[in-house]
Amino acid sequence: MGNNIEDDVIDLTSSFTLVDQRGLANVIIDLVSEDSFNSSLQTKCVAKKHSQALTACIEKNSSGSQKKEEPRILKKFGDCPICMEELGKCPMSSTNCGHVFCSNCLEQSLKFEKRCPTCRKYLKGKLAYHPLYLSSD
Amino acid sequence: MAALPRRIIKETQRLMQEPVPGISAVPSENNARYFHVIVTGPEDSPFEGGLFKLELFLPEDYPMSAPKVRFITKIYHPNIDRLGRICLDILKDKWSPALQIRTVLLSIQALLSAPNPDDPLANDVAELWKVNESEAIRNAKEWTRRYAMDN
Repeated sequence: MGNNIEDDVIDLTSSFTLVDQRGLANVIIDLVSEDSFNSSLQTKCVAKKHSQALTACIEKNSSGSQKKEEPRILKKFGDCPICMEELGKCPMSSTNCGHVFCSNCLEQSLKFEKRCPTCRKYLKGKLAYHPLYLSSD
Repeated sequence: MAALPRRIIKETQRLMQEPVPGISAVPSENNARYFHVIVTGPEDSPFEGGLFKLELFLPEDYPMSAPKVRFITKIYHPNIDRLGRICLDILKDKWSPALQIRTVLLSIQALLSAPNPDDPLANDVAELWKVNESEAIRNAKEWTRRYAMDN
């Protein structure tokens, strides 16, 4: 049985895409804050008995219960230089030169010009930018 | 008319709350994308003491495209032509959506402090600026006194 649980955890982390990992990070926060537990994800998975609850949480999070998440953003990361909204409210991306924007803003900007809006570095191809995930802890 | 993007609202608020020294930008009452701008001539430049009126318009796809800016007050400057059009890279190919109204106006103010006759828009002015800088500066001061100080 112990093996099964462990397998579950490995499955979750290894087979998830990056987007789902963000969901996973949210789940950890959710579980800890709701139950006032300091237990690890693995323990909580045991407590919930199965990963279906987890999946449900992830789906709930990704389908946008943004308002519920907002108060948990404790640190301020500044504003997106393009829309000037607080970073972290929307999914974020970092360019390969390290400048961070809302993903939508950056993608829209790159349609106009394939350069970093902040430092004007030429950005092209798959590795030009990537999603950025920050834990609230 | 489409709703005003939040970015424009935010920029306008910040321009009002924390104005740039020597620059005022006030949106028109009937068009929030059209700004009445006044730039004071920088110290130690031939434009010192002058108040220069400009108009600034935020196009539909702003901030993906640059604001359109033009001097209304006549000015003797190698990078500004007689129609008030400005030769400034960030208003053209060097525009980036991370730039703002504030940074554009600061760049224009800096252009007044540092005319660049090697990248001219007003060819006659640029030419004189290169061959006889003191006379060009005298002209610039005279135009400032004549056109930018009368009110």
